[in-house]
Amino acid sequence: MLFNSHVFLLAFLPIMLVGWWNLRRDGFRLLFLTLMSYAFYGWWDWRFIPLMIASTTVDYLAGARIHAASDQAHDDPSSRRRWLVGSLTFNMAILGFFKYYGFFATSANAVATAMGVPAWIPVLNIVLPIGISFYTFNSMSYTIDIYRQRVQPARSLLHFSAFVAMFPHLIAGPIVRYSDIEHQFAKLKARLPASEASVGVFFFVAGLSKKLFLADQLAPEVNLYFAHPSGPLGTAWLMSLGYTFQLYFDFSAYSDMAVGLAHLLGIQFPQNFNSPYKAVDMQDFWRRWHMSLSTWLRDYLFIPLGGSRHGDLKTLRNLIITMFLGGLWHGAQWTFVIWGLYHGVMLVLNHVVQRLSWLPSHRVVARLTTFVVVVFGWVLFRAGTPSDAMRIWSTMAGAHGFGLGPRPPIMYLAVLAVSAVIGFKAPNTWEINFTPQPRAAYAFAAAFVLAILFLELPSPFLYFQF
Amino acid sequence: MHDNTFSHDEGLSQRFLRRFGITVGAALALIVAANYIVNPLDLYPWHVFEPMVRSSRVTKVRMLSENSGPGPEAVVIGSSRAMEIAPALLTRLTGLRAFNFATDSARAEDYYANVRWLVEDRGVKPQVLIIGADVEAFHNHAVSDERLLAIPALAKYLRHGEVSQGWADRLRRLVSKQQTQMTALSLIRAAWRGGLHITGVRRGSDPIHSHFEADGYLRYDDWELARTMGRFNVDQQIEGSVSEYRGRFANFTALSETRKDDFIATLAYAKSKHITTIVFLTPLHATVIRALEPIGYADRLREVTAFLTESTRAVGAAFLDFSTIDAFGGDPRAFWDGGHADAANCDRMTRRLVEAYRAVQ
Repeated sequence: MLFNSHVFLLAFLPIMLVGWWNLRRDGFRLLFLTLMSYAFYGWWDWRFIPLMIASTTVDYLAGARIHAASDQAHDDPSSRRRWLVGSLTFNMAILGFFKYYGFFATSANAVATAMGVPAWIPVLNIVLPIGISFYTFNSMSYTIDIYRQRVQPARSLLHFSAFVAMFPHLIAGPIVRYSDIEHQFAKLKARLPASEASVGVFFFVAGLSKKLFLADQLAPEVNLYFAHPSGPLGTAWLMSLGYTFQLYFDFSAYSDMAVGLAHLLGIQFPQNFNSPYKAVDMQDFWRRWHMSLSTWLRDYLFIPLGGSRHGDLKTLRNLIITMFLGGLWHGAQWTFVIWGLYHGVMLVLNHVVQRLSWLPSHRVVARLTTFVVVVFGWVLFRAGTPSDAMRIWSTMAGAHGFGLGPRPPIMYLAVLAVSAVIGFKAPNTWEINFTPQPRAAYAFAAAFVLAILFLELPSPFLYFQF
Repeated sequence: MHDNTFSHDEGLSQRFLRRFGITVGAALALIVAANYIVNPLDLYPWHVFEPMVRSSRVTKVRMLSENSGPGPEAVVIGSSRAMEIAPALLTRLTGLRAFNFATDSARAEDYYANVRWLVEDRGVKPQVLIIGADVEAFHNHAVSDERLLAIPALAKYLRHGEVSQGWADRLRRLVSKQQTQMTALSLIRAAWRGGLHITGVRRGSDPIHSHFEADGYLRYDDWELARTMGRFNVDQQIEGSVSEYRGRFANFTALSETRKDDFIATLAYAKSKHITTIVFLTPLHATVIRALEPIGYADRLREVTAFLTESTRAVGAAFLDFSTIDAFGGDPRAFWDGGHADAANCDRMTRRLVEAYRAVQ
């Protein structure tokens, strides 16, 4: 089910809110939330609900066992480690099978064929369960945090199931840690303060507007171009910039809507975007873009690898490994792998340049340089193949002429211009000092009604594919 | 974690939520009511205002239903690009009573629904069925036309249950951008005309864009008049339609399996009723084809051609590829726009279709 659909806005959400705020006992409310979230997920394909339930159950049990083995009277480090490894192995196995088996099989067969050896790994037609990258990462952070004794285990399987499945963040994040939710689930709000509900409406409508009026308006021309990239420098830049803003507004829209929906349930989610195109260097970019993923990678990958504690060379190695795996997380395609490595290399260069004090001091120059690096990265991210990406890169550098190319539709250019202004200059939804004034109510209502009219065709969020 | 719960006055927030909720509810109710009453897409049987868009389905179903005669012996179906296949010429060449049952934006599911309705609801069993298939009739991402979904007599024959006839689906159609835009335009037009009549500026009837003759043949009244007066700029029309076709083909990435299935079912049904079927691919102007080439048109054309060749051969039907005008000796100037061949080109195609019909007899 999509947030931007009639069935969600006019049926699912009203039913969810009425049930959530009218059920009395917290246990029933969490059960209701869990079941409704499974219905939300199953609207896409009910066959993968058991997989999520299995992952949830394994991690809940593992978390309980890890905690039990941490009992101060009977601390058993090897048992704790076994249960952690078991939980991580299970999650990585399902992620590996559903998401990466086909990729590795195809790649291995291609290498074998190139070496004159017959391809022997069967390539299966596996459906990727939607949201699997997100909910497995949610679950893994839970067991790791219990192992590190940073969080108490969930009170019950129901509490944990509600955390994993809760629909606002289930399919495309933000990747919420159990520590963010634990105290909120422990004492659910009995009633929703109007102030929190109005903030929820603000985030939700802002997100819906960004998705429908900006991201979806850029999508058709961008999709046309990347399906068959051709044309001179002007076209390549206009379409690459279009994708740059489409991706940002699409993904940040989802995060805003998730935050808004959580507010409507009386729950607070963390921020996921902080105006990433205002970043002054690559390190700053990754502190602003998909913050829940970058902090996850930092806390559960970069730091355990040694972080920046063991000298420059190891720091640079750890950066490359972390970003490589971060790229792979996005999808089983060489373009994502190379994109991850690209950002790894850029972070390494950033580190070196910072050490040499070569970073641009002028803010505008620093932002522009960072933005251009990011745009080139997004070309890799979006292109169908690495060779398409290379072609587009070379076109952007003028290798196929310096012409402007055919003018895209005026609407596309207008939306691109507005997107650039908002991306570079405007405060983001978390920075806006929202006040629930009457005029704001009418403006938000108009935006919401207009958004409903725009819900003509299914328009999944881009990060659903990860 | 950032604290994003602003500490606002509860009273102020309550007023904000109340105003938000009431405004949304009132606006949606107004839009639903306006779309329902104004009926700009001719989806309902009343006409308080003149529809903005002709519903060829409603019109032609009515024409065939109200005609108490024996019914046509030769039927043409397809999209608006087949609407100028002249029944009169078909009759002259074959001696068969003919009717053009082509409907706007028809896709494979329309072909099936139209044929089933004709045979089972209208009780007509034609001798020959001519299907003018567009390449995008097998689009894998385009939804079924709302004007088809709004006619229960046709929609009941849809085979792949993506269509709901329930109240939820009807309500969804009443809050669509397309309908709302058309309602607004219809009201503006009515107000403008009303203003003109009140002020006495204008008398007489308004110019008509097009109409269907009694045999379902389409006449573009305003374009024909403009052409007669030397004011019809075909190059401008063709150029102007390029972006529309690019939009249609934008996310057309493969042939739809359900639409292929619908088409096979159409052929099988026709064969079961001993109806000779002739299929042709409708032409696009070369300018449009060139504009579509960078976005995969050649691949889709190749796939559709291969599919139509195989599926027609399997049932003994004939297939003619008129996707380019060279295939039927067409005239690049004989177009109304980039996708709609005019009467001259349609007559050339009709003669080839009749030859094919005679060959399979």
